[in-house]
Amino acid sequence: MVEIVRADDNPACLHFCVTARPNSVSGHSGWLIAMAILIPSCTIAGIIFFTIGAWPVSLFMGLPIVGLSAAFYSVERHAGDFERITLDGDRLILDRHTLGWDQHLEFNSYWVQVALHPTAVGGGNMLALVSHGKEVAFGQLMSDEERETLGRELKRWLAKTRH
Amino acid sequence: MESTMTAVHHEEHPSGLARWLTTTNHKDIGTLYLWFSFAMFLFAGSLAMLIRAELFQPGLQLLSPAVFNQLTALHGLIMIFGAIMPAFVGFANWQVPLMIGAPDMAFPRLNNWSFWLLPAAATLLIASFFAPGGAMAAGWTMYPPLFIQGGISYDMTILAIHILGLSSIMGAINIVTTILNLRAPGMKLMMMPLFVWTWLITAYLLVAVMPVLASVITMLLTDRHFGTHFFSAAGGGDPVMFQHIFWFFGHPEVYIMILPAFGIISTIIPTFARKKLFGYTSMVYAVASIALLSFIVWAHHMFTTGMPVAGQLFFMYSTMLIAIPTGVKVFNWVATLWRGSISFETPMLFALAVVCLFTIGGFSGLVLALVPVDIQLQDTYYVVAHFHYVLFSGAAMSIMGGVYYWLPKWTGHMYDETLGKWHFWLTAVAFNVTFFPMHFLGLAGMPRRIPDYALQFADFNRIASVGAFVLGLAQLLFLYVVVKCIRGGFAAGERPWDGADTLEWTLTSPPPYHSFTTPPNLSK
Repeated sequence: MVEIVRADDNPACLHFCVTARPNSVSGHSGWLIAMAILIPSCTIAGIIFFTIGAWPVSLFMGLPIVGLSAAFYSVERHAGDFERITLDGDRLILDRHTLGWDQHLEFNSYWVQVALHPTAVGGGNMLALVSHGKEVAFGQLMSDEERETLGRELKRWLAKTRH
Repeated sequence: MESTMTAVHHEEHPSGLARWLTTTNHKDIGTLYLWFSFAMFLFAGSLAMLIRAELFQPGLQLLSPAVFNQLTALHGLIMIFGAIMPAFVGFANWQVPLMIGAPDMAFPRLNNWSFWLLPAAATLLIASFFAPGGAMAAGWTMYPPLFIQGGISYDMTILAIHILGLSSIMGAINIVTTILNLRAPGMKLMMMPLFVWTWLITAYLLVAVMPVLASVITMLLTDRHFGTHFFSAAGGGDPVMFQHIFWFFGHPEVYIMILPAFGIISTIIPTFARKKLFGYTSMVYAVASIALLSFIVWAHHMFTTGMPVAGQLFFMYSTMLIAIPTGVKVFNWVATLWRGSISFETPMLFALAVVCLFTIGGFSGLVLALVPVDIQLQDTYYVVAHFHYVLFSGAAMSIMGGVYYWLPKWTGHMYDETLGKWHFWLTAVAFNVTFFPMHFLGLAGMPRRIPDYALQFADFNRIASVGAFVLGLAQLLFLYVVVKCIRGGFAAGERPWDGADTLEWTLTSPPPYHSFTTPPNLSK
């Protein structure tokens, strides 16, 4: 569910830069369209049933609006998430934005190791940066295949930097 | 990201019972839905066999009138909420992510809950047969005052329908969110396969009307146990108000059961005609128009309750208006076939039968839309014939066609074409033998929901019963064909139908457990 923008030809990134984002094609406009269709129909029906004495219908008509809003809210909360890994000379920078929370980590590209482990459950894999005894997982917005590919490519670029 | 390495798929997943209980995979959940709906189809179908056995000849042979009413009520409820709706949700689970290039549904855990609510509800409904006084016997429409006077099984029915409704709403929210957010990059709305469009609109209908059903059965519950009088005339309530609320849900519900069928037919016909679907855009607008109109026709089910002439005219004309977008669809299907390179594999046979037989159901619907005619035919077997032409030959036969169409993709094997055709012909012929005579019975005045009837109706009833038994047995052949296909057969290959062009056919057959983990980019 990721859209990956490869920007290694971007002059701002000296060597290599990969950004992963969740794939959310409609985003906020999808939410607005969904609500624009649902709210008027539910409101009109609710008011009509209320006036003929079937007031519980009006209460129940609020449920789909709440349910669908919650679903879109949940999707949209993650719409701005991204992970970016940038190799900039002797620095390997990991930027992560999750639910409005930013994380910025820098590693020395001469020391950092790239590790690809199988996960304990589910048969997938985990990509991690290892340096100074610490391991930081990344690539959570990527598929197994993309993590594998990125891991190999990153190792290649790091080797190139060191020589 | 451009992959320069050989991709390795990770196919490992839990096995055994744990896999099916805890799965969040859309394909597993789709499979669960389809098997559940087939089990319910056979159960509710066996209730129909009992009904037809009783009606084989006049007089009371096998069943008491009370049990007969329980069978008709539960047959309708289970077929609608347990068989047809879950079957289409099963198709949506399997096909929507594959057709839009998404790795899964937007909320996989919610998807799991949506399914596992169904067996609980089905258990309640089936167990209600063993409750004191037997199962609910007030018809699938649950009209008061009869419904308010029933025993514990009526409460079990209310609870079961609440659970089924909750499952439907959760499933529908999941489908809307998935389609609007998880399409492959570059897939604009007007590029979506028509099956996905029909499901998007169906999901909207579900989200909008299932709360109406939930509210009306809650009002029944409070009338039964908490001293309210919403529908009790003795307490100042109005039983006709129940019908207004119920049918405000009930008529869109008909389209909830038929729009995904239109989506399946719109997928199958272009494939086997080896042509693009004629008038894609008009098809999308036709589906949307049908959905919209379904909200303003509910009172055509209630012409005999007494309503002002202006009301009768409004609901008559608005009902007839639905024939226009429906006609557009039928025209487009026929235009797609025109000068196509048509082949008649089993899915295509089912699709063509649906077009012909559903059209008969549509025309008898137009007949019933006419107020003076409806007043004569209300609650007769003409209505039974009409809605079975819509729901069996429209919805159920589309489901069968869809199963044959996608079975090679789902299992990786080709089904037995000869047996598939046998299944089709037995089903199509037996269906018409069963339900076509019911038009004559209705026109002659035979009322529905009765275990006994006057002698002049005996011949057509006997023919209908024989047809029904053949129709029932033919579905066991369907079960055999499906099981045989799952267990083995010729390898299907990626794209066994040369006219198929949607995204699922770019994957292997069966597709990998985790498919489209990298979305296909259609904007290139």
